[in-house]
Amino acid sequence: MFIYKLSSWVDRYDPFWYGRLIALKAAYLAIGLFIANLILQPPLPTLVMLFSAVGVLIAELPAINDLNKKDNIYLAYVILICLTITIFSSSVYLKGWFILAVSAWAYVLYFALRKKPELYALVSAVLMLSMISLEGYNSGNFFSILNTLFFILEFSLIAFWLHKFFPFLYSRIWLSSILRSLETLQNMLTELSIADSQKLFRQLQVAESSLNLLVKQSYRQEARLITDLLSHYHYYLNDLLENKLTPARELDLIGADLLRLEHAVRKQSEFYYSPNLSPALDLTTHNQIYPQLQASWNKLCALVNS
Amino acid sequence: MRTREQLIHLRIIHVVAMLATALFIYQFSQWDDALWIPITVLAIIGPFSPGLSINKAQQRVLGSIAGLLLSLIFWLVIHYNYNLLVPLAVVLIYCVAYTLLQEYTFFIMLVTIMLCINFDYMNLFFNNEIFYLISRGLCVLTGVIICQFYEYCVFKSSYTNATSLVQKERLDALIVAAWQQVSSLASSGRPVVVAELNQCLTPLVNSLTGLQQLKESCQHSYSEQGETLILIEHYQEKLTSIYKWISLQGFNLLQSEPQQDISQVVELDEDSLEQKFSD
Repeated sequence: MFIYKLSSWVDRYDPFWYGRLIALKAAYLAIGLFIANLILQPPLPTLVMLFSAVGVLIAELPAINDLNKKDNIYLAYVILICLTITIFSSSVYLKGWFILAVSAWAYVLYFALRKKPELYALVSAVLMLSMISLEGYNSGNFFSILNTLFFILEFSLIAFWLHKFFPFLYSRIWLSSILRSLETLQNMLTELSIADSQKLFRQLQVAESSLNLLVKQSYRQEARLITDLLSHYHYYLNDLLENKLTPARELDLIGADLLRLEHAVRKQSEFYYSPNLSPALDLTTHNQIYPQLQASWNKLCALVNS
Repeated sequence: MRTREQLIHLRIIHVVAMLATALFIYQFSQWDDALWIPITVLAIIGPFSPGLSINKAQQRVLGSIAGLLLSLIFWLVIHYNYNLLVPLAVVLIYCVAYTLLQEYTFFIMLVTIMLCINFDYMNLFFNNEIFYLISRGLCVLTGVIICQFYEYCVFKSSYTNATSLVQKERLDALIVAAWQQVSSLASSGRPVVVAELNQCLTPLVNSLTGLQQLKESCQHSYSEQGETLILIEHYQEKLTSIYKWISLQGFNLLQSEPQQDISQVVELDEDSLEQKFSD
């Protein structure tokens, strides 16, 4: 009971599991890099570990929903951070020139991305991390900077492989988004309102975008089918609630069936239930879609368990 | 009136000016932890837009103060139980990463604790530690003051009623495109699938999210943004109304025979489009 309550509380702040995924990955990377530090003993280990791990966390942000894109973003991050650290560390003793060099580099980075202002947060993060590097690397010595850069590259390689060997937990994102959309669908039925329609669409968007991250093609097909069927429910309920003004008794039947599915998704187990097919005209679509939804979910469970 | 591109370029120059000022103080002051001035400025200007930066500055002050005070407790614990450092670091890293997508105050609070116990004062005596906390707090405050000074006294008039950020032409084109897509789906003579309908709605919902962020930025901004806010609300209404209309007609398109759909869906000609969504 306590675990369930805790999980529901966390779900409120992290509805799609992104926060928990990033947090788990960060803790896992930290342990891996601590061990690497024990063996390789770089100068200023905190900074070296920080620079190599932050890129992986940036690559795990929700906007990046493709495995290849994640790898490319990490590569771009490593190149950018090495370049920025080189510029900052080699000019820090030149007082006025340092101000000029850093300002010019910041201008170049921002200007280069002027067509994509949504990436500006990334530029600020890279500049900030490089600034933090001056806590330790302000030697102004070329060989010292080069040595540090090699360590950053070495640790980045380790962080990259740690990231690659991390268990595939992206299915949690899909599952959470499906759960959230089932909750919203039931909420719409309870309140007899389509006020949550946009919220539901966004939840299904998250489910759709996380499909690329599922581990196997066969899972992906079934998961896509379930997502599409729930999307179908979205349009169906909009129609029932706004256009057809269906009686609450019939809507309750749909709600009860969706609740059964939600329980099964929550338990991540198959469920067998033969719904009482209502003869009401408005429920024809529900009578068609629901068995498909049930079959797809059971098939997905069977695939995962096989 | 400045175009969107001009405004972005102007903002880049302003951001660089704030950073250069912070770097100047770092290089030419004799403060112990002056490096935290440019770090603070860079953290605050992260969201780039003036309004969001102002909001972030306030959150940073709160988070830094709370983090510095809490780090004192952590210092006391670790100073006498040194072996706790590794497990505590892992737990802190977990929490920092978790708050990455949450409110900035909590994130910066945890980052401050982590940076404090990792970098600076693990082996300091209590008095030195208090000095460190004060010095670090003052540097963060200086960084925040630099940003607020520039935003309020220097850049305030530069962004007055920046209506071009709403991108009217793009949004108008988006609405028309969504309409044309729906009408072509209705008259295509083949069954419509859910993915096609979602494709019509996705740009509308994404634009609504973008407009909401812009609205928040305008609400926090020091410059006058009355006209921009009116325009944003106008487009929010427009986009919401077309979203609602398409999502209500969506089921008719998905259901039954395509030929019936055309008759069921409200007449989808250009005139009704103009009538329904005109100002």
